[in-house]
Amino acid sequence: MTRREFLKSAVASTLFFATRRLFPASLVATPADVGIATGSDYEKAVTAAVDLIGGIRAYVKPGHVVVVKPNIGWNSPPAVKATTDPVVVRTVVHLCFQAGASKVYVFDRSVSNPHLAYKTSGIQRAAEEAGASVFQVDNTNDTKLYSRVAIPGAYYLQNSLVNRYALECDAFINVPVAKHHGQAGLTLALKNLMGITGDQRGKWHWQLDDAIADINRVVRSRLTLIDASAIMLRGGPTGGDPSYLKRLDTFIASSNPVSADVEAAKLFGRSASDLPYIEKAAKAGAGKASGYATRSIDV
Amino acid sequence: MKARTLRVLKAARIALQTLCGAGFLYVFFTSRDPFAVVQNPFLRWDPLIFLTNPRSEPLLLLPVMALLLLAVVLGRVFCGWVCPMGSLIELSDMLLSPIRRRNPMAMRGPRPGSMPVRFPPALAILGATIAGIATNAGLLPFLHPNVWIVRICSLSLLGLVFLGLIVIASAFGRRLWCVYLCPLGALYGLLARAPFPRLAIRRCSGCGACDRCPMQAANASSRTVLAHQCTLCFAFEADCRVEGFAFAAARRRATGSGISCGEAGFDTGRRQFLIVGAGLLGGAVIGGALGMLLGTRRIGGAVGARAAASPAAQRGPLRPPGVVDEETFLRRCIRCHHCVESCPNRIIEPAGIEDGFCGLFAPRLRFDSNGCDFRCQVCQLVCPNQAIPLQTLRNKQRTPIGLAVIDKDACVVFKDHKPCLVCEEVCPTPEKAVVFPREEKIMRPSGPTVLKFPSVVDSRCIGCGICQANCPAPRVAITVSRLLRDRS
Repeated sequence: MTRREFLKSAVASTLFFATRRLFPASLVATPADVGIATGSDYEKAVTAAVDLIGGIRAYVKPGHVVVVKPNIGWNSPPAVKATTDPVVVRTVVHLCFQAGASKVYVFDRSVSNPHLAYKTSGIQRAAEEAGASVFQVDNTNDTKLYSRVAIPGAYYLQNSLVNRYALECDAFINVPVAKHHGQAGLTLALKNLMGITGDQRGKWHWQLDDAIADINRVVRSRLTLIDASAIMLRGGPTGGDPSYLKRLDTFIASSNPVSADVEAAKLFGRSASDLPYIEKAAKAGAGKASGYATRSIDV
Repeated sequence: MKARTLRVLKAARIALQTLCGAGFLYVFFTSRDPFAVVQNPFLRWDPLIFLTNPRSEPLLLLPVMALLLLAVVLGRVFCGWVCPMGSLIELSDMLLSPIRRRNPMAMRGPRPGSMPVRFPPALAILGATIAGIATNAGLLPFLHPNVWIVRICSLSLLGLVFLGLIVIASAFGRRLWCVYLCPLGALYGLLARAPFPRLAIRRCSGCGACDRCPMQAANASSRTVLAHQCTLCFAFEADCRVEGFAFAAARRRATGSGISCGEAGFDTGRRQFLIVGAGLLGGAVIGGALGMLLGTRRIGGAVGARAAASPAAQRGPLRPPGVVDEETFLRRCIRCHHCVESCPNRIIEPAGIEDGFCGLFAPRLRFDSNGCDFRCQVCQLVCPNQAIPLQTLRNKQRTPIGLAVIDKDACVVFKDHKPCLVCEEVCPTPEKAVVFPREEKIMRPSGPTVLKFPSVVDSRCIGCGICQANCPAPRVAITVSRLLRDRS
């Protein structure tokens, strides 16, 4: 090795390590479509899952107004796992602020009384402590909160009232909890978007799969993070018995809700073909049901 | 007593009244927060309300006994210093005093020669109330001041009507409710007995300051202070020119010489004792007769244990969670409507005349817009006398309110062959009470669809009504009815 070669390699390696330091690891490695992280420290695991798909900075830019949409559907404590784990919500809000989000909103349209559900689920407190603005959705006739959106090419829902925060935000982050659901089979990321709508949702159940796919045309989840820390195998979506739960300590992050749902369904031992809405949503352009890259990590 | 002392006492009384009024409002508004556990002490510790559901909890018995003892020692001091209704009436009297002054019909103290209110009709009302409690007539809900003040605070129509009556009464005289009608005041007055010293007139110049007594307990011509009326409010005593008021042991008027005169309530002679007894008894007879005539046994038809057999009972009202025996519930419920106010889902409403007199204003459930939350016990927690029994959450989640029944002529699965299982989705019992024993695969334009036909498992259903509130069918296809059944 000549002196010149030595200097060259020395400068190159210095530069290489310096850039490694400068940029997060996630940018250096090719990001996957789906990142699956497992770990009993939920904060670490959630962050690791998001890092696998490129890190939060790939999804939230400085100054963004972000909506984090967990499942706060029921008045039930975190242990029941009918709602998203408050630690997960808190971590996602933290990540958004780390990426420079100017404002983070957290809400859901609860099936139970929202005053009860927000508090009992622990999400209101967790999100507010992380600095997010949490609001309850009481009045679905509120025109300040909802606007009617036409859905071109819809299977079923020609138009729908949609929460304006979800419509107008810069980044919509979908944070569902993975659980059993009598009619839909499973309720995961795609189904979680029901919470941004303002109509009488009951009638949609007569054509539920189409309605789920259609609402995913209106608002695209920029980032999806499925809480599969303990999945509800039956008795959903309300649950209530500890024996229904299977602890997995798993979190699935994805750049699209369809791939996330396919991966989450696998945890239940089910495939995309069992859940018609996954295929319908994929056809509607909400994401890839197959042919996506997956990476997993154990933290 | 010195005029200065009397002024201090008056100021102290007004301060305590303000404090108690503020405390009452605080309790009322806090009780609406589903996460704050507040019971209204003005109702919970009330001796008359205690009678509707006597329990031996020391934390309940002690305050009740203390209030009764207070009345024995100091007479109706509760009415003057604490009672929020009394304070409200006083406020109304104060605001309407200009009108009262111009009103030719208004009472301006007893006319010379007339006597203070020696035998208020409230005695008969007290008798009727107690007899009503014993015979299930439930007169108490319509006569108890603390119940009315809750209704006034909740701004319900009923409460506003009563408030209107108070304001109108203020145009005619001061504290008319307290002087003539209040059964609680009559009870405390009745207890105000010797040997404890009472407020008495020692010296008198005949100035007539005591004609301004709002309780009509004292006047100048008779030179007496009636212990069963006096609330120790010290409204005018400081104006007595000769500082003639003093606390003195009871003495018969005959024994006093000349001007001295301290009189203590009812115990001044056999004649009075008999009249008081007759008043109470007469009221009790009327109250008892009303109870027999209008009580639950007659009008409510079959209730309680007999309900299961009777189809009429199925149409009966749904009661708040935990209520098992209708008859006991109606006897205990004082219709304070704290549960109506506090229910976060707003499903409790006071009944009108539709459930008969025995069910008048009693809380009933309506599942039109919402059901009874599975993990919520607010109504049980706020109920002041456990007419809605306070259960453990586990028991609350197992005690049926009623039973959901599916109407197959209205359900879209049966009628229109549309896949729908909202009732199953929202059913909150861990082991779902709505199940699908029958499945059928049908062809639809969008592809093959599996139809699941819902059915209610009676032993699991607790009748919370969440399915009824969420049913999307054009005509609600699943409704909860009161069907009390055997559950092993």
